[in-house]
Amino acid sequence: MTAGFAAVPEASWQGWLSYVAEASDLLAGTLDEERLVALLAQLVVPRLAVWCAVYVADDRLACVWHTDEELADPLRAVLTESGPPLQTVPGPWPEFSVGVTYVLPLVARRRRIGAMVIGGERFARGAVELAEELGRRAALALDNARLYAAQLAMSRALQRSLLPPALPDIPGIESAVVYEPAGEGAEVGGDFYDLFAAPGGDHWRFAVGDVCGTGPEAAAVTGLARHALRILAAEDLALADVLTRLNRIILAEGPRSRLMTLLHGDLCPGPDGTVRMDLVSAGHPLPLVLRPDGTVREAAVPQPLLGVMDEVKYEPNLLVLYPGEVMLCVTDGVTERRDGAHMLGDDQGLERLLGGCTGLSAGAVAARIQRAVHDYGAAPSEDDLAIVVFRVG
Amino acid sequence: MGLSWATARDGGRTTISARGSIDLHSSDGLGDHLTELIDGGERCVIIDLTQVDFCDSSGLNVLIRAYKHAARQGGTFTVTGAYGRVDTVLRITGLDRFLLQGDP
Repeated sequence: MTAGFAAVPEASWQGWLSYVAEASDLLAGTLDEERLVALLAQLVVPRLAVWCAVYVADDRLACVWHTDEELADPLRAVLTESGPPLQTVPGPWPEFSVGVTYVLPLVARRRRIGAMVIGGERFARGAVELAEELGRRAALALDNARLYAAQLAMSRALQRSLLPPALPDIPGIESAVVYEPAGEGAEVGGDFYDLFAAPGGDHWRFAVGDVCGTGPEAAAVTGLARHALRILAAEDLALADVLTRLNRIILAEGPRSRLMTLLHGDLCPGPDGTVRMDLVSAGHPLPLVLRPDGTVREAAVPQPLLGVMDEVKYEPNLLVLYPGEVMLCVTDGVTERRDGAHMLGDDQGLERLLGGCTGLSAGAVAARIQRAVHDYGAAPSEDDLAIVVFRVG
Repeated sequence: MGLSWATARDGGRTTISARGSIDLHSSDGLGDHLTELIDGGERCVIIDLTQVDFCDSSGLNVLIRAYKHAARQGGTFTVTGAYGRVDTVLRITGLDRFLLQGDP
Protein backbone atom coordinates (compact mmCIF):
# COMPACT_ATOMS: atom_id res chain seq x y z
CA MET A 1 0.00 0.00 0.00
CA THR A 2 1.08 3.56 -0.53
CA ALA A 3 0.39 6.54 1.63
CA GLY A 4 -1.65 9.54 0.65
CA PHE A 5 -5.10 8.23 -0.18
CA ALA A 6 -8.31 9.14 1.54
CA ALA A 7 -9.91 6.60 3.83
CA VAL A 8 -12.72 4.66 2.18
CA PRO A 9 -16.16 5.32 3.66
CA GLU A 10 -18.39 2.39 4.59
CA ALA A 11 -21.06 1.60 2.04
CA SER A 12 -24.07 1.87 4.34
CA TRP A 13 -24.99 3.35 7.67
CA GLN A 14 -25.82 -0.17 8.91
CA GLY A 15 -22.20 -1.04 8.22
CA TRP A 16 -21.04 1.89 10.32
CA LEU A 17 -23.42 1.01 13.10
CA SER A 18 -22.15 -2.54 13.41
CA TYR A 19 -18.58 -1.21 13.16
CA VAL A 20 -19.14 1.09 16.14
CA ALA A 21 -20.92 -1.65 18.09
CA GLU A 22 -18.08 -4.09 17.47
CA ALA A 23 -15.49 -1.48 18.34
CA SER A 24 -17.29 -0.75 21.62
CA ASP A 25 -17.29 -4.44 22.52
CA LEU A 26 -13.59 -4.74 21.77
CA LEU A 27 -12.73 -1.64 23.81
CA ALA A 28 -14.88 -2.76 26.72
CA GLY A 29 -13.26 -6.19 26.68
CA THR A 30 -9.84 -5.34 28.00
CA LEU A 31 -8.38 -3.60 31.05
CA ASP A 32 -4.86 -3.38 29.68
CA GLU A 33 -3.70 0.09 28.63
CA GLU A 34 -1.22 -0.99 25.97
CA ARG A 35 -3.75 -3.28 24.31
CA LEU A 36 -6.47 -0.64 24.41
CA VAL A 37 -4.27 1.92 22.73
CA ALA A 38 -3.25 -0.50 19.98
CA LEU A 39 -6.87 -1.53 19.53
CA LEU A 40 -8.04 2.05 19.14
CA ALA A 41 -5.39 2.80 16.52
CA GLN A 42 -6.25 -0.34 14.56
CA LEU A 43 -9.95 0.45 14.66
CA VAL A 44 -9.32 3.90 13.23
CA VAL A 45 -6.75 2.93 10.56
CA PRO A 46 -7.43 2.37 7.70
CA ARG A 47 -11.21 2.82 7.93
CA LEU A 48 -11.33 6.41 9.17
CA ALA A 49 -7.86 7.76 8.57
CA VAL A 50 -4.54 6.99 6.92
CA TRP A 51 -2.69 7.18 10.22
CA CYS A 52 -3.42 7.50 13.89
CA ALA A 53 -1.36 8.38 16.95
CA VAL A 54 -2.48 7.88 20.53
CA TYR A 55 -1.12 9.80 23.49
CA VAL A 56 -1.83 8.64 27.03
CA ALA A 57 -1.22 10.10 30.50
CA ASP A 58 1.59 12.69 30.72
CA ASP A 59 1.30 13.06 26.92
CA ARG A 60 3.31 9.93 26.33
CA LEU A 61 3.13 8.82 22.69
CA ALA A 62 1.85 5.28 23.23
CA CYS A 63 1.04 4.14 19.71
CA VAL A 64 1.55 5.14 16.07
CA TRP A 65 -0.31 3.25 13.36
CA HIS A 66 -0.06 3.88 9.65
CA THR A 67 -1.79 2.28 6.66
CA ASP A 68 1.64 1.82 5.22
CA GLU A 69 3.61 -0.04 7.89
CA GLU A 70 6.89 1.27 6.53
CA LEU A 71 5.81 4.82 7.19
CA ALA A 72 4.96 4.20 10.86
CA ASP A 73 8.53 4.73 12.09
CA PRO A 74 9.23 7.92 10.12
CA LEU A 75 5.86 9.26 11.29
CA ARG A 76 6.73 8.44 14.88
CA ALA A 77 10.01 10.35 14.47
CA VAL A 78 8.17 13.40 13.15
CA LEU A 79 5.60 13.24 15.93
CA THR A 80 8.29 12.87 18.60
CA GLU A 81 10.04 15.88 17.11
CA SER A 82 6.92 18.05 17.12
CA GLY A 83 5.85 17.15 20.65
CA PRO A 84 2.35 16.23 21.81
CA PRO A 85 -0.76 18.20 20.80
CA LEU A 86 -1.71 20.28 23.80
CA GLN A 87 -5.09 21.58 22.67
CA THR A 88 -8.03 20.72 24.91
CA VAL A 89 -10.77 20.97 22.29
CA PRO A 90 -11.15 18.83 19.16
CA GLY A 91 -9.86 20.38 15.97
CA PRO A 92 -7.07 20.46 13.38
CA TRP A 93 -3.49 20.48 14.63
CA PRO A 94 -2.08 23.74 13.24
CA GLU A 95 1.49 23.05 14.40
CA PHE A 96 1.59 19.83 12.37
CA SER A 97 2.00 20.51 8.68
CA VAL A 98 1.89 17.07 7.00
CA GLY A 99 -1.44 16.48 5.23
CA VAL A 100 -4.66 17.06 7.18
CA THR A 101 -4.81 16.26 10.87
CA TYR A 102 -7.43 16.25 13.56
CA VAL A 103 -6.75 16.17 17.29
CA LEU A 104 -9.29 14.50 19.57
CA PRO A 105 -8.56 14.96 23.27
CA LEU A 106 -9.39 11.77 25.22
CA VAL A 107 -11.61 12.78 28.11
CA ALA A 108 -12.97 10.46 30.76
CA ARG A 109 -14.80 11.44 33.93
CA ARG A 110 -14.22 15.10 33.01
CA ARG A 111 -10.46 14.66 32.95
CA ARG A 112 -8.20 14.83 29.91
CA ILE A 113 -6.30 11.54 30.01
CA GLY A 114 -4.58 11.81 26.61
CA ALA A 115 -5.26 12.52 22.97
CA MET A 116 -5.77 10.81 19.66
CA VAL A 117 -4.56 12.34 16.39
CA ILE A 118 -5.80 11.17 13.05
CA GLY A 119 -4.28 12.18 9.76
CA GLY A 120 -4.33 11.66 6.00
CA GLU A 121 -4.77 13.56 2.74
CA ARG A 122 -8.38 14.38 3.48
CA PHE A 123 -11.05 12.86 5.70
CA ALA A 124 -14.11 11.08 4.35
CA ARG A 125 -17.45 12.50 5.34
CA GLY A 126 -18.33 11.48 8.91
CA ALA A 127 -14.88 10.05 9.63
CA VAL A 128 -14.00 12.68 12.21
CA GLU A 129 -17.33 12.25 13.99
CA LEU A 130 -16.87 8.49 14.10
CA ALA A 131 -13.31 8.83 15.36
CA GLU A 132 -14.62 11.15 18.03
CA GLU A 133 -17.19 8.55 19.06
CA LEU A 134 -14.54 5.82 19.27
CA GLY A 135 -12.28 8.17 21.20
CA ARG A 136 -14.97 8.77 23.81
CA ARG A 137 -15.41 5.04 24.35
CA ALA A 138 -11.68 4.37 24.34
CA ALA A 139 -11.11 7.15 26.89
CA LEU A 140 -13.54 5.56 29.32
CA ALA A 141 -11.97 2.13 28.80
CA LEU A 142 -8.50 3.62 29.33
CA ASP A 143 -9.61 5.30 32.52
CA ASN A 144 -11.10 2.02 33.77
CA ALA A 145 -7.81 0.31 32.94
CA ARG A 146 -5.96 2.94 34.96
CA LEU A 147 -8.25 2.45 37.98
CA TYR A 148 -7.93 -1.31 37.70
CA ALA A 149 -4.14 -1.11 37.50
CA ALA A 150 -4.11 1.08 40.62
CA GLN A 151 -6.28 -1.42 42.48
CA LEU A 152 -4.09 -4.30 41.35
CA ALA A 153 -0.95 -2.52 42.52
CA MET A 154 -2.54 -1.82 45.90
CA SER A 155 -3.71 -5.40 46.35
CA ARG A 156 -0.32 -6.77 45.42
CA ALA A 157 1.49 -4.44 47.79
CA LEU A 158 -0.90 -5.38 50.58
CA GLN A 159 -0.54 -9.08 49.80
CA ARG A 160 3.26 -8.81 49.81
CA SER A 161 3.20 -7.05 53.16
CA LEU A 162 1.39 -10.04 54.66
CA LEU A 163 4.05 -12.54 53.67
CA PRO A 164 7.69 -12.74 54.77
CA PRO A 165 10.20 -11.35 52.24
CA ALA A 166 12.35 -14.51 52.48
CA LEU A 167 12.63 -17.76 54.40
CA PRO A 168 15.37 -17.97 57.04
CA ASP A 169 17.91 -20.82 56.95
CA ILE A 170 17.33 -23.32 59.73
CA PRO A 171 20.20 -25.71 60.48
CA GLY A 172 19.24 -29.30 59.74
CA ILE A 173 15.85 -28.41 58.25
CA GLU A 174 14.89 -27.89 54.63
CA SER A 175 11.83 -25.70 54.16
CA ALA A 176 9.67 -24.90 51.15
CA VAL A 177 6.60 -22.75 50.62
CA VAL A 178 3.97 -22.46 47.90
CA TYR A 179 1.53 -19.61 48.01
CA GLU A 180 -1.20 -18.87 45.48
CA PRO A 181 -3.84 -16.20 46.01
CA ALA A 182 -7.14 -16.95 44.31
CA GLY A 183 -8.50 -15.08 41.32
CA GLU A 184 -6.78 -12.56 39.08
CA GLY A 185 -4.88 -10.79 41.79
CA ALA A 186 -7.24 -7.84 42.30
CA GLU A 187 -8.39 -9.35 45.61
CA VAL A 188 -6.18 -9.91 48.63
CA GLY A 189 -6.39 -13.49 49.80
CA GLY A 190 -7.08 -14.67 53.34
CA ASP A 191 -4.30 -17.28 53.50
CA PHE A 192 -0.88 -16.46 54.88
CA TYR A 193 2.29 -18.08 56.21
CA ASP A 194 5.32 -16.95 58.14
CA LEU A 195 8.64 -18.40 59.29
CA PHE A 196 11.04 -16.47 61.50
CA ALA A 197 13.83 -16.85 64.09
CA ALA A 198 12.76 -16.64 67.72
CA PRO A 199 14.88 -14.94 70.40
CA GLY A 200 18.03 -16.77 71.43
CA GLY A 201 18.77 -17.93 67.89
CA ASP A 202 18.23 -21.64 68.64
CA HIS A 203 14.58 -21.99 67.67
CA TRP A 204 12.26 -20.82 64.91
CA ARG A 205 8.55 -20.26 64.65
CA PHE A 206 6.27 -20.85 61.72
CA ALA A 207 2.63 -20.12 61.03
CA VAL A 208 0.14 -21.15 58.37
CA GLY A 209 -3.20 -19.42 58.63
CA ASP A 210 -6.46 -18.74 56.88
CA VAL A 211 -8.75 -15.83 57.67
CA CYS A 212 -12.39 -16.38 56.76
CA GLY A 213 -13.21 -14.24 53.73
CA THR A 214 -11.08 -12.19 51.35
CA GLY A 215 -10.44 -8.55 50.57
CA PRO A 216 -9.10 -5.70 52.69
CA GLU A 217 -11.22 -6.59 55.76
CA ALA A 218 -9.74 -10.09 55.91
CA ALA A 219 -6.26 -8.70 55.14
CA ALA A 220 -6.53 -6.37 58.13
CA VAL A 221 -7.04 -9.37 60.44
CA THR A 222 -4.21 -11.24 58.70
CA GLY A 223 -1.89 -8.28 59.30
CA LEU A 224 -2.95 -8.08 62.92
CA ALA A 225 -2.26 -11.79 63.44
CA ARG A 226 1.06 -11.81 61.62
CA HIS A 227 2.46 -8.88 63.62
CA ALA A 228 1.05 -10.22 66.88
CA LEU A 229 2.77 -13.59 66.32
CA ARG A 230 6.13 -11.93 65.73
CA ILE A 231 5.84 -9.51 68.63
CA LEU A 232 4.64 -12.16 71.09
CA ALA A 233 7.47 -14.46 69.99
CA ALA A 234 9.98 -11.64 70.51
CA GLU A 235 8.56 -11.29 74.03
CA ASP A 236 9.41 -14.97 74.51
CA LEU A 237 5.81 -15.93 75.19
CA ALA A 238 5.29 -19.70 75.09
CA LEU A 239 3.67 -20.95 71.87
CA ALA A 240 0.28 -21.93 73.29
CA ASP A 241 0.06 -18.68 75.25
CA VAL A 242 0.62 -16.79 72.00
CA LEU A 243 -2.53 -18.41 70.60
CA THR A 244 -4.54 -17.70 73.73
CA ARG A 245 -3.47 -14.06 73.53
CA LEU A 246 -4.02 -13.76 69.78
CA ASN A 247 -7.53 -15.18 70.17
CA ARG A 248 -8.41 -12.36 72.58
CA ILE A 249 -6.76 -9.76 70.35
CA ILE A 250 -8.88 -10.88 67.40
CA LEU A 251 -12.10 -10.97 69.44
CA ALA A 252 -11.34 -7.47 70.77
CA GLU A 253 -11.78 -6.23 67.19
CA GLY A 254 -15.52 -6.73 67.74
CA PRO A 255 -17.54 -6.54 64.55
CA ARG A 256 -14.35 -6.26 62.49
CA SER A 257 -13.03 -9.57 63.80
CA ARG A 258 -12.98 -12.62 61.54
CA LEU A 259 -12.75 -16.32 62.11
CA MET A 260 -9.24 -17.53 61.62
CA THR A 261 -7.63 -20.94 61.53
CA LEU A 262 -3.97 -21.08 62.43
CA LEU A 263 -1.30 -23.71 62.67
CA HIS A 264 1.54 -22.35 64.77
CA GLY A 265 4.75 -24.20 65.58
CA ASP A 266 8.05 -23.73 67.37
CA LEU A 267 10.94 -25.67 65.82
CA CYS A 268 14.02 -26.49 67.86
CA PRO A 269 16.72 -28.49 66.01
CA GLY A 270 18.64 -30.75 68.41
CA PRO A 271 22.32 -31.80 68.34
CA ASP A 272 21.30 -35.39 67.45
CA GLY A 273 19.65 -34.35 64.18
CA THR A 274 16.07 -34.55 65.48
CA VAL A 275 13.76 -31.55 65.66
CA ARG A 276 11.63 -30.94 68.73
CA MET A 277 8.50 -29.06 67.98
CA ASP A 278 5.67 -27.46 69.90
CA LEU A 279 2.52 -27.27 67.79
CA VAL A 280 -0.91 -25.77 68.15
CA SER A 281 -3.55 -26.34 65.50
CA ALA A 282 -6.29 -23.78 66.11
CA GLY A 283 -9.04 -25.10 63.87
CA HIS A 284 -6.59 -25.58 60.99
CA PRO A 285 -6.25 -28.61 58.70
CA LEU A 286 -3.94 -30.88 60.70
CA PRO A 287 -0.27 -31.11 59.77
CA LEU A 288 0.81 -34.47 58.40
CA VAL A 289 4.12 -36.22 58.93
CA LEU A 290 5.59 -38.60 56.35
CA ARG A 291 8.07 -41.23 57.57
CA PRO A 292 10.76 -42.55 55.22
CA ASP A 293 8.82 -45.85 55.00
CA GLY A 294 5.83 -44.06 53.41
CA THR A 295 3.49 -44.08 56.42
CA VAL A 296 1.69 -40.84 57.21
CA ARG A 297 0.30 -39.62 60.53
CA GLU A 298 -1.56 -36.58 61.82
CA ALA A 299 0.80 -34.50 63.92
CA ALA A 300 -1.47 -32.47 66.19
CA VAL A 301 -4.74 -32.56 68.09
CA PRO A 302 -7.47 -30.17 66.89
CA GLN A 303 -8.18 -27.13 69.06
CA PRO A 304 -10.80 -24.41 68.41
CA LEU A 305 -10.31 -21.87 65.68
CA LEU A 306 -9.52 -18.27 66.63
CA GLY A 307 -12.08 -15.52 66.91
CA VAL A 308 -14.93 -17.61 68.31
CA MET A 309 -14.79 -17.90 72.10
CA ASP A 310 -13.02 -15.70 74.57
CA GLU A 311 -12.34 -18.35 77.18
CA VAL A 312 -10.41 -20.82 75.00
CA LYS A 313 -7.05 -21.79 76.46
CA TYR A 314 -4.68 -23.45 74.02
CA GLU A 315 -2.35 -26.33 74.89
CA PRO A 316 0.86 -27.25 73.05
CA ASN A 317 1.26 -30.63 71.33
CA LEU A 318 4.80 -31.93 71.46
CA LEU A 319 6.21 -33.54 68.35
CA VAL A 320 9.66 -34.92 67.56
CA LEU A 321 10.67 -35.15 63.91
CA TYR A 322 13.44 -37.60 63.00
CA PRO A 323 15.91 -37.36 60.14
CA GLY A 324 14.23 -38.15 56.82
CA GLU A 325 10.76 -37.19 58.07
CA VAL A 326 8.69 -34.60 56.24
CA MET A 327 5.99 -32.38 57.72
CA LEU A 328 3.29 -30.98 55.42
CA CYS A 329 1.10 -28.03 56.40
CA VAL A 330 -1.64 -26.76 54.09
CA THR A 331 -4.68 -24.49 54.05
CA ASP A 332 -8.15 -25.63 53.05
CA GLY A 333 -7.52 -24.41 49.50
CA VAL A 334 -5.72 -27.77 49.21
CA THR A 335 -8.04 -30.10 51.14
CA GLU A 336 -11.24 -28.52 49.81
CA ARG A 337 -10.10 -28.41 46.18
CA ARG A 338 -13.17 -29.54 44.26
CA ASP A 339 -13.88 -31.72 41.28
CA GLY A 340 -17.66 -31.81 40.98
CA ALA A 341 -18.93 -33.42 44.18
CA HIS A 342 -15.48 -34.68 45.21
CA MET A 343 -12.76 -32.97 47.22
CA LEU A 344 -9.05 -33.63 47.35
CA GLY A 345 -9.14 -34.17 51.11
CA ASP A 346 -11.97 -36.75 51.00
CA ASP A 347 -11.14 -40.24 52.29
CA GLN A 348 -7.66 -39.22 53.42
CA GLY A 349 -6.79 -38.02 49.92
CA LEU A 350 -4.02 -35.74 51.18
CA GLU A 351 -2.52 -38.53 53.31
CA ARG A 352 -2.38 -40.79 50.26
CA LEU A 353 -0.82 -38.03 48.18
CA LEU A 354 1.86 -37.38 50.80
CA GLY A 355 2.45 -41.14 51.19
CA GLY A 356 3.71 -41.16 47.60
CA CYS A 357 6.31 -38.47 48.28
CA THR A 358 9.00 -40.57 49.99
CA GLY A 359 12.55 -39.64 49.10
CA LEU A 360 11.62 -36.19 47.79
CA SER A 361 13.14 -32.89 48.96
CA ALA A 362 10.94 -30.34 50.74
CA GLY A 363 10.66 -28.30 47.55
CA ALA A 364 9.73 -31.34 45.46
CA VAL A 365 7.02 -32.36 47.98
CA ALA A 366 5.54 -28.84 47.91
CA ALA A 367 5.63 -28.81 44.10
CA ARG A 368 3.99 -32.23 43.87
CA ILE A 369 1.14 -31.22 46.19
CA GLN A 370 0.67 -27.99 44.24
CA ARG A 371 0.49 -29.87 40.95
CA ALA A 372 -1.97 -32.36 42.41
CA VAL A 373 -4.21 -29.44 43.44
CA HIS A 374 -4.03 -27.93 39.94
CA ASP A 375 -4.72 -31.26 38.24
CA TYR A 376 -7.52 -32.27 40.61
CA GLY A 377 -10.41 -30.41 39.00
CA ALA A 378 -11.10 -29.19 35.49
CA ALA A 379 -12.16 -25.72 36.65
CA PRO A 380 -9.51 -23.41 38.12
CA SER A 381 -9.46 -23.22 41.91
CA GLU A 382 -11.53 -20.44 43.51
CA ASP A 383 -9.66 -20.47 46.80
CA ASP A 384 -6.24 -19.30 47.98
CA LEU A 385 -3.78 -21.93 48.90
CA ALA A 386 -0.67 -22.11 51.04
CA ILE A 387 1.63 -25.11 51.39
CA VAL A 388 4.53 -25.23 53.84
CA VAL A 389 6.86 -28.24 53.95
CA PHE A 390 9.70 -29.05 56.36
CA ARG A 391 12.12 -31.92 55.90
CA VAL A 392 14.58 -32.97 58.57
CA GLY A 393 18.18 -33.84 57.72
CA MET B 1 -25.61 -27.62 44.87
CA GLY B 2 -27.91 -25.35 46.93
CA LEU B 3 -29.38 -25.63 50.36
CA SER B 4 -32.92 -26.15 51.56
CA TRP B 5 -34.33 -26.69 55.01
CA ALA B 6 -37.50 -27.61 56.87
CA THR B 7 -38.34 -26.41 60.33
CA ALA B 8 -40.31 -28.51 62.85
CA ARG B 9 -41.46 -27.74 66.37
CA ASP B 10 -41.81 -30.41 69.00
CA GLY B 11 -42.67 -29.22 72.48
CA GLY B 12 -40.10 -26.60 73.37
CA ARG B 13 -37.67 -27.70 70.69
CA THR B 14 -37.24 -26.36 67.17
CA THR B 15 -35.38 -28.57 64.73
CA ILE B 16 -34.13 -27.35 61.36
CA SER B 17 -33.43 -30.19 58.97
CA ALA B 18 -31.01 -28.87 56.37
CA ARG B 19 -30.26 -30.47 53.02
CA GLY B 20 -27.45 -29.64 50.59
CA SER B 21 -24.28 -27.57 51.05
CA ILE B 22 -23.77 -24.73 53.50
CA ASP B 23 -21.32 -22.49 51.67
CA LEU B 24 -20.70 -18.92 50.53
CA HIS B 25 -23.81 -18.98 48.34
CA SER B 26 -26.25 -20.44 50.85
CA SER B 27 -25.01 -19.54 54.32
CA ASP B 28 -26.54 -16.04 54.50
CA GLY B 29 -30.05 -17.37 53.94
CA LEU B 30 -29.64 -20.01 56.62
CA GLY B 31 -28.13 -17.45 58.97
CA ASP B 32 -31.11 -15.12 58.53
CA HIS B 33 -33.50 -17.98 59.26
CA LEU B 34 -31.66 -18.95 62.46
CA THR B 35 -31.55 -15.32 63.59
CA GLU B 36 -35.30 -14.99 63.06
CA LEU B 37 -36.05 -18.15 65.02
CA ILE B 38 -33.93 -17.10 67.98
CA ASP B 39 -35.22 -13.51 67.89
CA GLY B 40 -38.71 -14.98 67.69
CA GLY B 41 -38.24 -16.49 71.13
CA GLU B 42 -37.15 -20.07 70.36
CA ARG B 43 -34.96 -21.18 73.26
CA CYS B 44 -33.89 -24.62 72.12
CA VAL B 45 -32.81 -24.68 68.47
CA ILE B 46 -31.27 -27.76 66.88
CA ILE B 47 -29.90 -28.00 63.36
CA ASP B 48 -29.91 -31.47 61.87
CA LEU B 49 -27.08 -31.87 59.33
CA THR B 50 -27.81 -35.50 58.41
CA GLN B 51 -28.37 -34.45 54.78
CA VAL B 52 -25.67 -31.82 54.54
CA ASP B 53 -22.59 -32.91 52.58
CA PHE B 54 -20.41 -29.82 52.97
CA CYS B 55 -19.97 -26.82 55.24
CA ASP B 56 -17.29 -24.23 54.49
CA SER B 57 -15.94 -21.44 56.70
CA SER B 58 -18.86 -19.13 55.94
CA GLY B 59 -21.17 -21.95 57.05
CA LEU B 60 -19.20 -22.39 60.27
CA ASN B 61 -19.52 -18.64 60.80
CA VAL B 62 -23.31 -18.96 60.61
CA LEU B 63 -23.36 -21.84 63.11
CA ILE B 64 -21.11 -19.95 65.54
CA ARG B 65 -23.24 -16.81 65.29
CA ALA B 66 -26.39 -18.79 66.00
CA TYR B 67 -24.67 -20.47 68.96
CA LYS B 68 -23.61 -17.13 70.44
CA HIS B 69 -26.91 -15.44 69.65
CA ALA B 70 -28.87 -18.24 71.36
CA ALA B 71 -26.56 -18.13 74.39
CA ARG B 72 -27.09 -14.35 74.74
CA GLN B 73 -30.86 -14.90 74.73
CA GLY B 74 -30.54 -17.58 77.41
CA GLY B 75 -31.20 -20.40 74.95
CA THR B 76 -29.21 -23.15 73.26
CA PHE B 77 -28.22 -23.92 69.70
CA THR B 78 -26.83 -27.36 68.90
CA VAL B 79 -25.83 -29.38 65.89
CA THR B 80 -26.81 -32.99 65.32
CA GLY B 81 -26.38 -35.57 62.59
CA ALA B 82 -23.07 -34.30 61.18
CA TYR B 83 -21.21 -36.98 59.23
CA GLY B 84 -18.34 -37.27 56.75
CA ARG B 85 -16.86 -33.93 55.71
CA VAL B 86 -19.12 -31.92 57.97
CA ASP B 87 -18.21 -34.03 60.99
CA THR B 88 -14.53 -33.72 60.04
CA VAL B 89 -14.67 -29.93 59.72
CA LEU B 90 -16.43 -29.59 63.10
CA ARG B 91 -13.77 -31.79 64.68
CA ILE B 92 -10.79 -30.08 62.99
CA THR B 93 -12.04 -26.60 63.88
CA GLY B 94 -12.63 -27.63 67.49
CA LEU B 95 -16.24 -26.47 67.22
CA ASP B 96 -17.52 -29.93 68.15
CA ARG B 97 -16.96 -29.07 71.80
CA PHE B 98 -19.34 -26.11 71.55
CA LEU B 99 -21.87 -27.20 68.97
CA LEU B 100 -22.35 -30.92 69.40
CA GLN B 101 -24.40 -32.30 72.20
CA GLY B 102 -24.43 -35.96 73.16
CA ASP B 103 -28.21 -36.09 73.47
CA PRO B 104 -29.91 -33.89 70.86
